[in-house]
Amino acid sequence: MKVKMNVNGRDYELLVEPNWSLLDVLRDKLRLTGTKKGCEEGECGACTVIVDGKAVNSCLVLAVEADGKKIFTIEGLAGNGELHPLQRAFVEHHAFQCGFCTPGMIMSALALLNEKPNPTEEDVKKAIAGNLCRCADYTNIIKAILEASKDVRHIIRSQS
Amino acid sequence: MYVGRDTPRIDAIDKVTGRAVYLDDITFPDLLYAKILRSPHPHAYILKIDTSEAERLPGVKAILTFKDVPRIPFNTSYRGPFHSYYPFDEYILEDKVRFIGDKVAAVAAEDPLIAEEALKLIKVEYQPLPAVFDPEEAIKDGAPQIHPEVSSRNVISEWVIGWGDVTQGFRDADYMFEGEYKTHRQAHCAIETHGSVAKYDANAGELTVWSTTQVPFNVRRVLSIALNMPVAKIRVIKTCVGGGFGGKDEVFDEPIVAMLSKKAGGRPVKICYSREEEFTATRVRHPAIYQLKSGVKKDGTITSLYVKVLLDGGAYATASPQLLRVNSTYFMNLYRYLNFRFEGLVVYTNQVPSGAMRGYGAPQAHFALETHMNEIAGELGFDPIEFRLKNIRRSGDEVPIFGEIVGCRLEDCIKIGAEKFEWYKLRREKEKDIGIGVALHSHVTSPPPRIIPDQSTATVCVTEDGGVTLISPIAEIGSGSTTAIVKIVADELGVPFERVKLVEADTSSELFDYGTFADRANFMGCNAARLAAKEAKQLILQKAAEMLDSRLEDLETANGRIYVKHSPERSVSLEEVAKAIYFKTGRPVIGVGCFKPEVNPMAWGATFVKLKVDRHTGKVNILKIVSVHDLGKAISPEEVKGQIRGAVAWGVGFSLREEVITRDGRIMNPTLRDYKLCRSLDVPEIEPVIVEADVERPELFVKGVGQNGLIAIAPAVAAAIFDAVGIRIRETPLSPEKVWRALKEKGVTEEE
Repeated sequence: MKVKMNVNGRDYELLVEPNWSLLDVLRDKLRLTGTKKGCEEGECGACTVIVDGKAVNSCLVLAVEADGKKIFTIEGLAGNGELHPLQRAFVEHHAFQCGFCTPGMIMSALALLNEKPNPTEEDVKKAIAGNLCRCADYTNIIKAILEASKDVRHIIRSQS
Repeated sequence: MYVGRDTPRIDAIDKVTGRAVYLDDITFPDLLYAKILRSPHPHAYILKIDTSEAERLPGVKAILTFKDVPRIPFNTSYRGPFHSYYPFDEYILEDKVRFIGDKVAAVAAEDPLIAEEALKLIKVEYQPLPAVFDPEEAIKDGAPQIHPEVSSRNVISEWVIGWGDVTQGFRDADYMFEGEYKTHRQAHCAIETHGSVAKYDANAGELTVWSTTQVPFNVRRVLSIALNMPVAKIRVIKTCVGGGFGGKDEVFDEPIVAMLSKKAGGRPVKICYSREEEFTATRVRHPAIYQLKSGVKKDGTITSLYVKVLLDGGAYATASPQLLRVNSTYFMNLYRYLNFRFEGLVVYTNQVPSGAMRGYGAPQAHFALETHMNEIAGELGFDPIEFRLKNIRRSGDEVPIFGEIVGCRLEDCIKIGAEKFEWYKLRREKEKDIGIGVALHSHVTSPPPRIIPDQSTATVCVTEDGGVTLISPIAEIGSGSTTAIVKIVADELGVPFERVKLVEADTSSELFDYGTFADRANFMGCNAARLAAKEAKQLILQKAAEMLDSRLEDLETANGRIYVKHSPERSVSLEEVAKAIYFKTGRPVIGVGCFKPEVNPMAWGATFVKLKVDRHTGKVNILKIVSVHDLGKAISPEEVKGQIRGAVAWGVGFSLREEVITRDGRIMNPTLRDYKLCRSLDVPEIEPVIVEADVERPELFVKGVGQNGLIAIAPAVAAAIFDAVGIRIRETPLSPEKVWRALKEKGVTEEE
């Protein structure tokens, strides 16, 4: 089946099988391997991407469902060697260890900040409740997201 | 100085941009995908196996059964000759299966779906055998024998150690205490599942393996045994590891993908486990049954402690024999007893194999020991803290296996923690259904050298332009060890942190190392790198002394320059010295560091828990945890706190909710939906507290901290539950059901 999707600002026309997930298309066809595969059952959140402004588990979205959608992955964040404020905050606050959940975590945080630029700590906890971090230091992740939320200007840029 | 100061991690940019390369991100144009057929039986012979139909499926490129692999036994955790007590009980594939999920056959195909399809076409005729799932049943007469060729009575290993005469110790006591304590199976659940890629070059007879492993050199060693290949012909490259926690501490399917690649004409073959395989076919934490018996005098002196433990090793030995030995150290290192005896057995059952897991047997041992200590203190009317201050070990004590205890700040950990937690205030102002509990821990930093020798290597090269290349074999698995090692080298050479480029060595570097486990990465890695940097620095200083017309002892390094002490106007840059060496002597500036410790620094600490019990549901709500650690020196304080908080969250999971449930050997909850990890909303308030040591021997500064935060959580939670509602639970997890049943049994009602 033929699908059209815009990924990180670039238009793609792809031939996909009906049983392919968006995750497989991103990773295997577009080689955007920053989006991770952790469970393929929507429980770990490592595959979180933004589809039309909403954070979704890309393992639970069929590629055909993404037809005509705007998709945003971790690769779309840093431009010209400059980190996005969320990425910078994750670096500064030591908000990762093994790093495997990090791309998904950042995408969930980005979706939150796009919707709610001034979140409370509780908002942040809820926004990343679907993202498992087995290294399990959620404290620094929450701190990083709250810190990044102070940089509103960049959040708006990332939306465009 | 960079040691003790937070800097961004050297892997930060790759990890926050999604550019870090994990195993599944590796690809080749001609890559094949492997899948493994797994046993539906807990114990069976394979009578017939027919792969003809699967072979005919288009896209299938290679199939392996036990008929296609060398019949060479190995142990997936084998680290060298000193592991002579490790049973070699595994083959790449065999005509016998020993747990549900054991490997039966493997397929490599053009596409993972084709490989999956092919598995369904393999016809296997099994002869089911009687199975045993309970370690106590496994050692009884007449129990099914799981590995009769390497064990009798299903015993993997036995370990007895002690001193004095425990029986006499009991006679000398005023009071006797006895208790049975049980702990459960826990799963690692790294978010990145296991996997590897192999590429066999038939012309050269060489094998390259990429693996998400904690132990690249061990993978190479075991591959060399299993495939009967020379070590030098095998290259193992560790990819970025998406969580290890002990679960990637041994060989998994590297031999299988290697053989598949060989059979498929040298095409690279990749395997990535599904989440279900991660639960059913990797490793779990050893379930344990402890019997403790102690004698105590009226004044609280412990005259005698007897410990008997039975560990469930599951279907293969893996690291069980070593884990059992280390288990005894947890009982010996924390308290002083005049008489002590530890008798341990680890046995085979037809369950998923148990292996190394964050804590390495310590959470089980400490649940038993520390619950027991809390019971004694409670019965005798001591404050649990005062009781411990009376009995804990201190620097200068001699213990078996480790020798003299050096630089122990356990007492300070207890006192500082009690103050931060407001222990005495909370004891005085008891609130309804709210309880507090304390437990201590001791843990190894790298395996105890007297039973398991350790060593590591590194090279430090000052480049021709005065930069630094550090080649370290330490396997970064997420804890930030490589950043710590870079700091050590920057400090030693007096160069900016950014000037040190770390190269993570694969096995072809031949910088021998055992891998990342037992909190050894910082201790071994930093010390080896420091010795390498010292040697490189010596070469630089010799030349600089010549150039500055100074004595070598009068030189010092800072900011990339070499100065004459007290006359800072006389200086030369590292670059100038390096150039002089490279282009005039024809030699590179390379220092090699080899570190082989005689003793290792034990880590100590105390955990304080405050919680509330819901009498209606039995649910335990943890309100606060203070986790105090004597860790030597915090090289990267923020990373250290992250390790502590992460480990504490593991401890919370282990204590309250994470349980692999098995029925007749089948795992009933092999999904992240049914096996509950801590999420952002589940982690309580955690206060990590760092207590640094003040000792003379600098190599002892770097103690482990990756595992320790989790060790004492369960006993502290159990103690706090008792404090809150007066029930003692001696079996983990301390689930709502268990708490609720215990409350019912005790007749505690909601109204009370």
